[in-house]
Amino acid sequence: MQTLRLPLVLAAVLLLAKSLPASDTAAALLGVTVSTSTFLPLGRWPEYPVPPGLYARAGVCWLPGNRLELELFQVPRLVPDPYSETYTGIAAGWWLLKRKRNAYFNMTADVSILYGLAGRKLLAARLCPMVLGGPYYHYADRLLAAALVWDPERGRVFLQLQLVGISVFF
Amino acid sequence: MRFAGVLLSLFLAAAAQGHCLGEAKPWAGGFYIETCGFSDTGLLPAAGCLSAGLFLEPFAWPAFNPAIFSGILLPVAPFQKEALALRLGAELTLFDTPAPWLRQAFYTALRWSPALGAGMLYRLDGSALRFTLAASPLRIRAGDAVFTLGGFELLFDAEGSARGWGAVVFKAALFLF
Repeated sequence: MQTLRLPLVLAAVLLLAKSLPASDTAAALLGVTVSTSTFLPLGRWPEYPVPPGLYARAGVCWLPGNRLELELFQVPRLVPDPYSETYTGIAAGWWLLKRKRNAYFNMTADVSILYGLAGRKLLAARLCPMVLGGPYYHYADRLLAAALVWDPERGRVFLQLQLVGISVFF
Repeated sequence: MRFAGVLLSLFLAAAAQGHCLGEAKPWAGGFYIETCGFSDTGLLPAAGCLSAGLFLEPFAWPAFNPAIFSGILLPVAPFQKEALALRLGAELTLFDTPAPWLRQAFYTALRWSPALGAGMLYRLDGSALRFTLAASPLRIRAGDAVFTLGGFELLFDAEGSARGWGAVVFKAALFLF
């Protein structure tokens, strides 16, 4: 798990996706999501919750049915030391409105487990209030997502904001 | 020199594949926002930064189209208002060409517009000045916006010595005027 590297995961999914038919009328089943990721302290825990730096989130997702979304993702620190801190996670999400061919707007909620390089485990609950596009459009903007992250070992809660996320579905 | 000639020919050939979206554009500039970070702790502390400002792209050339920008940059994660910096620079869109490799994935017509840039970062408390060289290979033009994913920058001090590097996760430039 710790040695898992996102480029390998992305490459594998892109190779797999290449053999799938891309049709304007069919909903895509697989996707790749890239987003910004900002950790912020919350309330009575003012100290910064993770090693400071620039983080991003990228993952691959599977969208069975009309609402479910399962995602395997990583949140690496890119700057100042790339991959000196990385969280690998699994998320189970729910599209709050049914994914339909003529529905461009949606919202999503998900819960995830994040596993850090030093064995740190985090639990997160995220809400994305604005999803524009979807698997029928083969593309989605995910805007202003916010997650409450719980660190059970340190007994603290903090925020993770994702200003912009871009999903491409195959 | 020969390499530069080959490179130039490639850029022009790519640009000749289609007209620049900007040829019909009624805009000359707008607003940008980006998330970025820098490895040079002499300039800014380790943090995720947010930068926002205005840009001007007065021409609509299909290749080597210049733009200038000016804005502020602030470390937001963790938040450090004392590290507020001024960001100025110029960007050169190398070419602007249809992106057929994106047609299968996107409904909208997109154009690939990679760019090179140069600029300056100046801490408003006067503690640091850096010059930057930037490359944005994955830069997509979609109608009235230009989106950049994964840009890269090199930082130099006033003597020209390399001082680190920076990364842009995402940048959106929206034409407004």
